[in-house]
Amino acid sequence: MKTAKFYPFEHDPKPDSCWSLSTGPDGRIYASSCCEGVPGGGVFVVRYNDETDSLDTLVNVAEAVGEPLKSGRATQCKIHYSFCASPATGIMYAATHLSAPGYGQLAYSPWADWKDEDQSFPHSTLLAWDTNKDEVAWSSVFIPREGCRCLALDEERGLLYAISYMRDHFWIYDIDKRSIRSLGRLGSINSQGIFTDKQGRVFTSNGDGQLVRYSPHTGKLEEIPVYVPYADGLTNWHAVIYDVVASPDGDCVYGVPWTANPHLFRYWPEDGPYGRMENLGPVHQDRDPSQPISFYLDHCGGLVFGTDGMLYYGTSRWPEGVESAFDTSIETEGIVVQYNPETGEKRDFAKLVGNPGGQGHYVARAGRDRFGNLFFGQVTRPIPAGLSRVVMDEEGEDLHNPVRTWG
Amino acid sequence: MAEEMSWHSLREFTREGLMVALPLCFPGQSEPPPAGETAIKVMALNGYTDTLYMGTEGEKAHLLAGLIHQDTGVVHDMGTIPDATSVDALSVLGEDVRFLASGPDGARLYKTQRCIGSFLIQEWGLPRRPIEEVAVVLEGEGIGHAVASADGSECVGVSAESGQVFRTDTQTGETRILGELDKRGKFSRRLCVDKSGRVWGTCGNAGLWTLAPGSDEIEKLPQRIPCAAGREQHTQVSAWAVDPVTGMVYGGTRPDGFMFSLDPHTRHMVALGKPCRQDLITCLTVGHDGRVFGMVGTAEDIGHFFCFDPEERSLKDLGIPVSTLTTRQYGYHYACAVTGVDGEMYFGQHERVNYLWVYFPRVPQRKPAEATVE
Repeated sequence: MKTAKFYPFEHDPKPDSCWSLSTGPDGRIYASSCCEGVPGGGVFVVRYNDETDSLDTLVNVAEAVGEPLKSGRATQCKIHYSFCASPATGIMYAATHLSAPGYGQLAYSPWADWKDEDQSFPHSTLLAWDTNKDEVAWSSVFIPREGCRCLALDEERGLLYAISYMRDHFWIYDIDKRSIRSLGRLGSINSQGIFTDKQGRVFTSNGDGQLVRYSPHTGKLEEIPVYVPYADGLTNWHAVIYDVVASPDGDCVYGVPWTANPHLFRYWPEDGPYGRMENLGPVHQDRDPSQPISFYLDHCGGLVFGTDGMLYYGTSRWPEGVESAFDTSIETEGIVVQYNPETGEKRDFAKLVGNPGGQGHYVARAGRDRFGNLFFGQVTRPIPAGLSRVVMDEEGEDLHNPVRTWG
Repeated sequence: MAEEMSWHSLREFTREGLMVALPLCFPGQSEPPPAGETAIKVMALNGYTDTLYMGTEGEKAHLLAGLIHQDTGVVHDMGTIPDATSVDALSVLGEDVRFLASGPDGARLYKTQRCIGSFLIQEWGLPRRPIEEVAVVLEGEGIGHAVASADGSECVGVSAESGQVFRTDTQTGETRILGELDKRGKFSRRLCVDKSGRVWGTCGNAGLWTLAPGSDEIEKLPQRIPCAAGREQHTQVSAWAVDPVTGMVYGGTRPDGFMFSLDPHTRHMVALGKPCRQDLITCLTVGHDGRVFGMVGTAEDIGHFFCFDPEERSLKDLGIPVSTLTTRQYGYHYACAVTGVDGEMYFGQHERVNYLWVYFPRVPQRKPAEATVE
């Protein structure tokens, strides 16, 4: 089994999470160095430098958008699942999210502080990073008063699709007009993923794990009779999409939910009127069903295809009997699993680590760079976060295509 | 109500207010303890955190925590109690949870930490803290029931078989036997502690006994609790409740299911009647408005929910408990009840499979004002 190399984020205050990692239109790896738990914390966009084998900091988002981290209001502290690469324009879109308390505040509740002029989150910000010029092309107010949980790009139509937190609305942003509109509420628990099919239709899920589909052809947002698979003994409640990656041919997607006992699923969006969902089984060990498990422990994410056609994803392992709550004393393991889509076989492929004393088990997102190597963004709080690189020994360049256009 | 009846609805279910049955788990995320281990015997509220603690009896005994306020809405299984088949008393103050539990080898004092939670719609961590044995309380015999003092420093209980009254220090487990109630086994397995800290129970032929705060002397009183003529020899109290405002004590009896009030100062008792035809009043609790709510019916019954209104001096049968909001269940048999911080009431079901039943009493409409604002 391989061992991944960990690259810690080195910003101040120390970042606690990497919620977003994506392949850019240039085939390089972009990640968000987030600081969600520190009052006044901010987010930086970093990029893996394959010439120096290190991370370059590209932009301090707060500075770039002119919103000081010491304003006292909830800060632009993270980019959640909201990187979208635009191969046609070379733009890497990023939308910000909330959760860090304002500078000098002990805690932050986006519900309690809603419309509080002194402390509330002003808005999510959309940042367009020009990968050709290596500069911020433009930025814009994105979702008023809310964070952006996840983002998807329809390059053909010049639209971005987003889900907001906490109101859980479905939003459409017109890139040319720089205008945004809501199609209304989905539920109470954000889907952590939003993706498109070959027809340009958009898919996400509501809080009951039911797929919700938007068609730009009809302008209709609808709940369709397809559900994200879940384990025996649980219900569909909270089985929202966590991470979804397209198969290399783009005919289907593979995904995992954000719920206990996550199951890998495969969904064929164009098979029949509502698509076809397949349950590919659990990704993790059994657990004590008498306790609600912490999603910070029972977590699977970072789905990415290698150039070998294999699916890779980050999984967590934990000692039996510690399921109820996560703390850093638990000796977790982060393992990248290789899944063969043809046979369903899977094997442990690489071991993830974090900073010394930290866990490497929580992978948020993953990407493949232009040399075919795999990268995994990790949440390692309270230990400073970072990302991991798994060398795949591929030959050639521009091995990153096709590029994922959702976060 | 007659005009509202029809062939498919005789209004036999919860006729007033609303019952909601909560599964004994985190709905959708965990499974309840196995059937046969979830009969809720005792409940206690920690008013500081709103958390309701429950102790079960069965093949194994569990300590459960119910959280319904704010963004919670779960019952958390805090774990099984080592060597125990019944939790008999709970003392939950501050960050400390101490309880008495019985098993085949006797009764013990245990301790663990409190359970609090929030954000349970989004993501969570509900620790299962260690449950530690503090001391042996009774050797070779279990506890019928016990009650904690208001400051949580001690429990007074009665042993299950021999009817010995004991006092246990909840920090050390040091236990003293204070006396025996009845050699024939005629004593109540339900006790109460009134507003002044005095413990009440019954023994013998419907006789009252009491234990003053700090006293080790059991006082057997000459009064008989109300019962049907000639039924004294069979009658004991099976449920108690104390009005926290007036201090009035209410009792319900087995086997016949009568209700009475007891003024703890004058020791005057008043028979209040029989709520409905089912026998055995299993639990009582006083609502914020002073009305007393309870359950009646044996384990072999389809039990009923009832209410006593001290202002009207009326007993009202409120029907068979039913829950239709999210959980669709009938409730037939219960063993304990407590009133929550907002006037909601908790009823502990006591069957093979069980739920935590939460009752939201009706808020009466205002009476028409004599003058109206124009």
